[in-house]
Order: sequence, then C-alpha cells, then structure tokens
Amino acid sequence: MSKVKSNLNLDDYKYGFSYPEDYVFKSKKGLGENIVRGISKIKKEPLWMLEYRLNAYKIFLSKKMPAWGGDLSKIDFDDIYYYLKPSQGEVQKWEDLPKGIKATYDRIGIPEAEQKYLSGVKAQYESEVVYGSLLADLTKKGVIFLGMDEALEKHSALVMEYFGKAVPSADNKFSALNSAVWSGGSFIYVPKNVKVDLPLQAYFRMNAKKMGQFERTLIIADEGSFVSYIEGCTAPVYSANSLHSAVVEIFVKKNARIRYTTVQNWSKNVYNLVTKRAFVYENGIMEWVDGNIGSKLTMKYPSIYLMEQGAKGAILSMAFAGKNQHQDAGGKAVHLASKTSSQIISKSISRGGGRASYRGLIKVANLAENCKSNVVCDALILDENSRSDTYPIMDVKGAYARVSHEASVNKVDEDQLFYLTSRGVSKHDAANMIVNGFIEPIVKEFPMEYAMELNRLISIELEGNAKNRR
Amino acid sequence: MLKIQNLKVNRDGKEVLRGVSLNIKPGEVHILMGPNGSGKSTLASALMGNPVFEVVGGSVILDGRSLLNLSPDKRAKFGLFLAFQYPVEVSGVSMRGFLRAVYKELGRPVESFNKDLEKNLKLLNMSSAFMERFLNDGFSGGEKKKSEILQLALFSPKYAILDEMDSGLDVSALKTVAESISKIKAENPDLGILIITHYQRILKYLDVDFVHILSEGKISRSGGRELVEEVEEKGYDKLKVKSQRSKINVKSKK
Amino acid sequence: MQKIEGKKIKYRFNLPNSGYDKKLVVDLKNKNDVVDVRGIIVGRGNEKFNINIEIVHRAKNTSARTVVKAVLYDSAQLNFKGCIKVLKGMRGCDSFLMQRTLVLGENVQVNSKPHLEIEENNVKCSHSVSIARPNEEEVFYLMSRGLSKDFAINLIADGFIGVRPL
Repeated sequence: MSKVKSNLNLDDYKYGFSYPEDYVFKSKKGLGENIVRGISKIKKEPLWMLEYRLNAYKIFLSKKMPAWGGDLSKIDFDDIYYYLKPSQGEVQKWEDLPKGIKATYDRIGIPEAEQKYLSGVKAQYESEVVYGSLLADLTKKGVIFLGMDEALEKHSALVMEYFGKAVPSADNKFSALNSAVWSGGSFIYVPKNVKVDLPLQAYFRMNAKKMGQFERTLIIADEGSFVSYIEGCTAPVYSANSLHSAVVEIFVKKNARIRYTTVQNWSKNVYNLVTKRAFVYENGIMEWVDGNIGSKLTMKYPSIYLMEQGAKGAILSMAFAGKNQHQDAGGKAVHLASKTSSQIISKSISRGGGRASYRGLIKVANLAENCKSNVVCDALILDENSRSDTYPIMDVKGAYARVSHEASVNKVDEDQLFYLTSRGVSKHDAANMIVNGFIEPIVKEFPMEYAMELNRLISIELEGNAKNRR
Repeated sequence: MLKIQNLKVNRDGKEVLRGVSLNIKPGEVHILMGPNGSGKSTLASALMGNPVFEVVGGSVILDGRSLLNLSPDKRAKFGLFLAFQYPVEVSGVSMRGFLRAVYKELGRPVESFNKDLEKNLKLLNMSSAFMERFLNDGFSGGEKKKSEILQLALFSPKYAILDEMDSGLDVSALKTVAESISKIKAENPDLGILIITHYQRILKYLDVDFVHILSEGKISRSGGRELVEEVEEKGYDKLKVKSQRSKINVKSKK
Repeated sequence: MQKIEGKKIKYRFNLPNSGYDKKLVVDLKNKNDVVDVRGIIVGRGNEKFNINIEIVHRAKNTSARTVVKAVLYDSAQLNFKGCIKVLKGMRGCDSFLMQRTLVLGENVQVNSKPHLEIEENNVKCSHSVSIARPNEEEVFYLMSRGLSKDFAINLIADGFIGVRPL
C-alpha cells in the first residue's frame, strides 16, 4: 500500500494520503468521441443524454481557452483519465462501504458529522456515487436527493427539463467539457413549500493519478421551499496535474430559498475550473457561501441571475492563496428584473508567493429598474512575495439603480499585532488571530464543523509560512 | 387657518392615519402627542407632501387653498413649513448658499437676506461659522435642530409643523430650543404652530393653546394643558379607554 | 494619452470641456511622490465618455488620491476604467481611487471597472465606486423649503461635484 509520508511541511498536510486503486473499470487516458460514448454506455443513459454529450464534445473542441484569469497553459487534455468506476455499486448503509473508502472518510472525520448533521449523504469515489442514504421522512415529503446518474435513470423527464438550462454546454470551454464527460454529482428536487431543515451534504475525493473530476449538480427548489446544500472536498497530493471541472446549476423558484456552501481544499496540483450558476425567480433568495483553500489554480465565480421582481442574491467568498497557488474567484450578479438586490462579500488572503484575485460582475439590464447592489472585497497580503488583484466590473443600464462597490488591500496591521503581543500572545498566534478575525464574517456562515476546520487549516498554512521565514 | 379634515393616509398599502381632523388658527400653538406608532410623524410628512405616503381621503386647506394636490415646494410657497425630526444631510451644499436660494424662491427681497440672516442668528444665539458648513452635513443632533429652527425663523411661514424637536436633547438644549420657538413666535405673532412631541417636557418652557392625543391613527382626545398632565399620570392606554366615553373639546387660555 | 509624473502634483480634468475621452497614466517613480487627481464629468443628451486612468506606484512611499465624479443626464454614458498598480517591493505606498456617478436621466448607462493589482504587502490601497440617483429624502427636504424639483436636483448635483452654489 502506498502512502505519502507526512512531515509537517507546507506541501504535506493531513489530507495528503491515498489508497490503492480499487477499480473494476478504468478508462483510457485522453478524450475522444469513443470515450464520451463509452461513458454514456456504461451508465445506460437515455438517448437524449448521449446526444447532449456528443454535441457538447463538439463544442468543447471548437472553443478557445479563456484569455483571462489564471495560467491554463500547462493543462494537457490528452493526459487525463476522464472516467473511473469503483468496484462497488451503491450502498445504503454506512457499514456496507468498502474498507478502503471507509478508512478515507474516517480519517477526514465524516462519521461524527454524519450523526449530527446529515440528512443524507452521497459520497463520490472516483466519479461514481457509492453511498447514499435518504432519510425516510424526506422521501415521504417528496424530496428527491440522488446521485445525478440515478436521478437521470429514475427521473429522466424532470432532469431533462432543467439540465443545461442555466449553464448550457456552449457557455464556456469547461462547461462544454463537463457536459460531455460529466459523471456523478448530486440531484436535488424540493417540492412546493417543503423546508429541508438539515443541510444536505456530499463528499468526494479523487484518488487515481491524473483523474478528472467532472461532477454535475442540479438543484431545484420549487415554490416556497428551502434547502441548504454543503459540499466539501479533499484530495491527495500528486505530482502530475489533475483537472476538476464541475458544473452546478440551481433554480430557485418563487418565494423559495437555497443556500449552497462549498469548502474547496483540493491538493495543490489540481486545476479547479468550475461554473456555478443560479436562476432566481420572484422573491426567491439564493446564497452562495464559497471557501477556497486548495488547488493550484481555481477559477470560480458563483453567479446569480435575478430573473423576476423581488429576487435576491448573496455571494460570500473566501480565498486563501499560499505558495504556488492562484485563487481567481469572485462572483457575478445579473439583474434582469426590477426591484432585485444583490450583495457580494469577498475576503482573500495571499501569502508565501500566492496570488488571490477577485473577479466580479454586477450587471443591471436596461429594463431592470430600482435595483440595488453592494460589493465589498477586502484583501490581506501577508508578505512581500504575494500578490492581490481586484477586477470588478459594474455595468449599470437600468434606471433608478443603486450600486456600490468598495475594495481594499492591506497587510496585517502593526498596531493590532503590537496590542496582542503586548498582552503576552506570541507573534505567530497574534497573526493567526488577526487573520481569522479578518475572515470571520464569511467563516461564520459555514456550519460549525467547517468553520473549525477552516480555522485549523488556515493556522496550518500560516505555520508553514512562519517556518519558511525563519 | 390650517384646516385638516378627516385626513386618511396609507404607507405601503397599510393604513396609518384613519381620519385626522384638526384646525389651527393664526397665532395658535397646538401640541400633538401620542404613543410610538400612532402616526405622528406620518401626519407631519403627509401634510408636507412626502411621496412615500399615500393620502387616501380627507382634505387639507391652508388659508382657503387646498394643499393635497400640490407638490412640496408649492406647499412651502403657500406658507407651510416642516421642521424635520431627522433633517437630511446634503453634502456639498453650503448653509449660506442654500438659505439664500430658498429665501429668494420664497419671494423675499434678496438684498435683505444678509441682514435678515444676521438678525436671526443673533436672536437664536447661533454663530455665523455655521453658515460655512454644508447643509446638515456632519451636524450633531442638537446642531440639526438648530438648523431647522433657524430656517423657521428666516423663512417666516404662516404655519409650522415641528416634528419631535425635543427628541434626543438634554434639558438645557431643550430649554434653548423652546426659548427660540417663543422668540420666533414673539416676532411673528400670527404664526400657527403644531408641535409634535412624545414628552411633555417642552411644555415647561412654552405657552400652549391646545393639546391633542393621536392614537391608532385618529385624534382620540383634545383639551388644554391639563390633558398633558393626565397623560403623564395615567399613560396613553388609560386615556384611550376614557376617550371612548368622555366628550372632547376643553379649551383653556394660556 | 497623458502621462504625468510625481513629486507633488495636482491634476484636474473637466469633461466635456476638454473632450469626451481621457487616458491618463500616472507614474510615481520617485520615492515620496504624491499625486492628487480630480476629474469632473457632466454629461447630457447622448454624450459618451471614455476614461482610462492608470496609477502606477514604482517607488517606495508614494501616494495617490484619485477622485472622479460624474453627473449624467438624459442618455449620457460613462465607460470608466481606473487601475491602481503597486509593483513588488514598493513598500509604504498609499493609494485610493473613488469613482461616483450621480444618475439624473432615465437612460443613463454606466460601466465602471476599478482595478487593483498589488504585489507588495506593506501598503494601503482601496477603491470605491458608487452609482446612484439623488436620495429621495434629500429631494423632499429641499422641496419642502420651496425649491422646485429641478432646482433641488441641481443643487444636489452641484453639491455632489463640489461646486459651491451662488
């Protein structure tokens, strides 16, 4: 059994481990029409999905790489596996999970979380949904929470109604890629006026070399309903590059509300290029809570399209860019109807040569009157080798709009450091407190376990920084 | 006379004033009291024509002229003045420039502006340094009230509504404000005033002709000074109950 | 394009008095250079303004303050880009950019892109952009004093720009 050794060193951290590859099927490296067909065939998909994939593949080939954002030049599309299926089919009970997979989750600490927090869990192991358990009463209420594959099989018409409607294949090169080779992800449908009190969660991790993760998530909250979804992921460290290109589509119907929380902690060789978009209808509310800690390069801008009057959206984004990392994150709010409002709060930290960029768009369309939007982005740069950028755009055409945006870039305040150290706190701990205090407005929106994990991870990262400076 | 008859006002579709009637003759000082949420500030704003409020019934006649279909600036030109509870800050507009512009709009002779301003600054014990600042910009609560009072003095309206002039002021500031109002009244004996207040403190320093209690959007009781003492003793609730049984209109001289 | 260099410079521009486009590069290349840029734009009818300002801090302890205010009527349009750059090693820099637009027309369009590219941590940089109509309460207050709506709005616009009336 191969294990990556763990020193307390910047690049090795407690999630840097892996398990022997335990697969029945492993696709070839590289992408071609035959791979796309193969994926669809193994999953026994309806014809419409096969056609959708093939069409998307053509679009992927024709689209150019984005000329902005991070450095994507080292991605070699031919050097990646696009599909892996684990040896197990779906299991219903926690105890029935294969040992290797269970051990992974034990190490991360899921069992405790499962008891306290979860309504149902879909765990993704190498692109396939292995574990799922939907609590009885949710099913009774008509809530659907399945892996995308299963949802496609059991609720084909419902999936077809929404699939690709928020993020069409042609949206960008990576949504096209995802549309062609997607596998796994979650499907959630909440019927009218049903409120799901406990957050629904999903965990997944990548294990095989050069694995591509292309999960596809679709969430629909019907009128008056509420659901909260949490996605947190970890991945082992490899020297070869990994590609993660997910698509999340969300529909918040009249008077409904959805909160989608993500903690991303991919190992530092991963390219994380995600398209996340929510359509919000009359008086609906959408909240994206986004934590970006890992990956080599993340390009992710959760978007909210405010389609009808009274729709509201909020994007809370946190990014931590350490050595050799580039977090290019932010959010977009597009006001297409009158009396809509949006808010974006972004907090980023860069250190050890890392680069954190905020990229955002507030757009108020011509016919959207009386809209309101407020954006605040603050950045902390911890040392002279790191970098912070802010690239917001405000495009306002609608009448009676009120749009404001503020951004600032600072270092850790010397006065604050002095104050804390004068009380006996070590300089390292003081910096820790200040940095955690800086991101507190976003971290407090995460469920408690995540909040604690976030604070811990950041402390570990800062420790690495302190060590490097000595 | 400022004649308010059966005024009904809504906000965001909800009823706030349900038929308020009140008459103010030149030279009279009326007090309007009432618990929070009774609609006092709504009355002030609606009389001045704040577009946020919807008048759905009744009438307001100032010296024979109907005000309800007039924009706020026209109402001001006919002689109505509102001293705001929370005067808005307008940065970049100097006090002096603003006061002169209004003075001119109201038809006063521009040549006498400076003299008039100096006179009133002196009357109200205000420093002319005030004039170089921007309109209410960065003013403390007390300074904002002073700015309103100065405008009342300078613009000599026929009827003035003072919306909670006493809120947030300590005893000595309150005394100053009340004294200013008395002085202004002395200079303009025909000025009719409606003072909207939550506390009876201001009455220690002012002569008052009538007291009205506004409760749940209607005037529940009217009377003289002694009505105020009743409120202080019994609270608004007991008075409301009483109003359903007793008769209204007890006039008393100052 | 206009390039100005530091020491202690105050730079003012006024559009459309000097055209509809402005490209300005402010190069702070000497230690302790200070620059103060103020721009005022008043747009009417179908006027279109394109403004591109770059503030580059190439030396230590340089500071800049950039304020661009626009009052737009009718269908006027503003395309604004303002970038603050602090190069690596340029400690002690202090840079602030503000862009505010007062919208007074029904068909006004504003596209504003304030950017920050900061490669040094020992700095203080910030920017703020706002696009809004006159506050309704402000307009009501001024009207309640007898000023017509147009007069009130013009007074607010003058105050917004920083021109003292009368």
